[in-house]
Amino acid sequence: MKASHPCSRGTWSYDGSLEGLVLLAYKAYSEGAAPETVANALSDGGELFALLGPAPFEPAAQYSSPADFAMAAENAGSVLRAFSGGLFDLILRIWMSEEALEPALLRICAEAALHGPEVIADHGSADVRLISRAAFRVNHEIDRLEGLARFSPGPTGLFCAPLAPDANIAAALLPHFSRRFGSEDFALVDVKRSIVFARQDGRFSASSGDEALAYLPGPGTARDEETELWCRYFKATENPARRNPDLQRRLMPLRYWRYLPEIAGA
Amino acid sequence: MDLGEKLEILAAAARYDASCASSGSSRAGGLPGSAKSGLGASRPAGVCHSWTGDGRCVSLLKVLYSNSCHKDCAYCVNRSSAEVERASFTAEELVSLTLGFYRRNYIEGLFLSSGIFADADIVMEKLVEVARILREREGFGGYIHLKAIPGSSDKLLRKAGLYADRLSANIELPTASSLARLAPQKSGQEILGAMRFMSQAEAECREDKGRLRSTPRFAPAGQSTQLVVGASPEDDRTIIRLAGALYGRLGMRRVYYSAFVPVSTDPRLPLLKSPPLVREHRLYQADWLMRFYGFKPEEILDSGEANLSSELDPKTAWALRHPEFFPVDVERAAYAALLRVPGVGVTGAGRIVSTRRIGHIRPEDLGRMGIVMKRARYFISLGGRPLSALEPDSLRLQLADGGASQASSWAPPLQSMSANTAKTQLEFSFA
Repeated sequence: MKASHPCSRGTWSYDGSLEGLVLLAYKAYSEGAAPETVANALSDGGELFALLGPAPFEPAAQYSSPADFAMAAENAGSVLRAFSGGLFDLILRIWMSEEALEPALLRICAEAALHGPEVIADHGSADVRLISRAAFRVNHEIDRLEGLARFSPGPTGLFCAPLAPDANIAAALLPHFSRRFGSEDFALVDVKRSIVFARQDGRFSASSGDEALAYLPGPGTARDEETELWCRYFKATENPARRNPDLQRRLMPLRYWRYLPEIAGA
Repeated sequence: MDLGEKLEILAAAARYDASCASSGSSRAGGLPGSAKSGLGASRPAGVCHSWTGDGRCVSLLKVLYSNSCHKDCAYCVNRSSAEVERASFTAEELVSLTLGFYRRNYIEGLFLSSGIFADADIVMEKLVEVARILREREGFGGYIHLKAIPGSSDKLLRKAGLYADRLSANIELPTASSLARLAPQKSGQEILGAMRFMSQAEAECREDKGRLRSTPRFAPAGQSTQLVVGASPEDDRTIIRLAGALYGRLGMRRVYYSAFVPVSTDPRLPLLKSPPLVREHRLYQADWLMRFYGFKPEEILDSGEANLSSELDPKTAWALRHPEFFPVDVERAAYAALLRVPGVGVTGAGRIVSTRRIGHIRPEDLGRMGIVMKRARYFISLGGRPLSALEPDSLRLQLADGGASQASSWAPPLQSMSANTAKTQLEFSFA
């Protein structure tokens, strides 16, 4: 959650968190400058905290006085005011992408300080193209998984969906499924990252590690009646006179098939 | 017969209906007076939940209430003379399937149609009852698309519109004469009557909502329809003009084109080896030009041809017929003019407009903005200088998009009609 000051070789570091990336973006924006490289402690395994100087704000629990908190809140407000909705959305998507695109992102933030937030619409810029493409991939995967997540009752009866997304998007799916499930409970399990986001009795929780995987039905669990009905429906609804498996694979890439009962193992 | 068997029969019977969209509506589930929000919500963009082996999106549980039908439409798999197993759901079975599939995120909602197994009102009542239970008893907020059964009463259609997000009545064939030949028990006037009623009810609802916000919505995703392409001899010009009229005069949200799949050996039907998929594709392209690119129906085939080219997409074909319109200067042209350039889509045109507000556009930027330069380069200029010379004759070959290679799966209509014949054949009256 902390961003560092630039080091002498033009490298900035952060701890891989979204808050850390937002702070780096704010730094680039407020200074109108960007680093040559960015060290991500999560992916690089580097000694992040050795590089850290004072950050614009700290978690609330660490403030010793109301004045400290007020200062931190003011700084946080500066961060939020600095970015247009579009620019903040790019920062969020790049963090979710888990791709090493921070330098390009920070150059855009520095440019935004000089020329205004509309620089994100400059598709002549190589950085904008790079970042826009990555953000598009993330958004596309969110859209896809809103449709392709498959829920079934877990060991406790809670409806759970296993996911293995390329990007770290499970949390971004929560608002959609909250609306969809109304007042019913559900859980999204990112199997790749061993993270679960659950809503039980109307309250959200997040956990990770083995606890996350415990939400899912055990391996070898037989298909239930409703899944069988769905598979029969899916087969019957295909029009054999129009078969086009290439198009099917293009629209629904093979990497998502594992958790789709209608097509898994096809 | 168990539920699984019924589901297979009634899903297979509904698969020739092309529509599976769940877009255009936004609602949340819940029961009046209950603090709890109900299962289901729909949103304007819709969601695709799977893709079948034919590459078509599965968004809704698309089934018939019953495939028993007393009509004998030559092109229909459920016609009364067809030797197929017949089945019917009960309302409770459909409700249970919809909620169960929805909870598992298999579907976005229900698409319910039916064979005409009884009087139109009785069939319509059955469909409305399913929607009523879902909305009023279960508090279901997902998407519901109901078929409007032509000939059913206005009262039932109005009720259907209050529960459904979208209503549709399939026009099926482009002219009344073809309808009379291939579906003699169907009435074009009844179909158009249902469409007209839905269009008026939607307009009234909009007007009332302006005065009183609590006015219940009527089919907020509007109405759609479907045309079977290739079962009758009408040309593309007739189909496009009809679609244009449906959009313009009846406020249709969407016209679907379904390539005719030979399902019977009825002598009234053409002998096709396979569905005319290229023709269907071209009609969808033409449809998009009308809906998103500002083309009028009469512009799409404006040089006397009766059918769309199988080699060139309709926009490129239009551009080659209108060299006087080009080159379009990407630095100065209006958004509407940019949309007319082959290789420039809605997104690309938007990017050009937003980028040129910031600075100059270089030729190398265009490809990066998503402009398909191998097509667009012949039709644009930058700073007054064309990027490539526009020579329509040589370009025809160069810009052919592969439709020709797929033409083996496409056969032209049985009879080619002249433009004048086509004009007189547009017999459906919208007055």
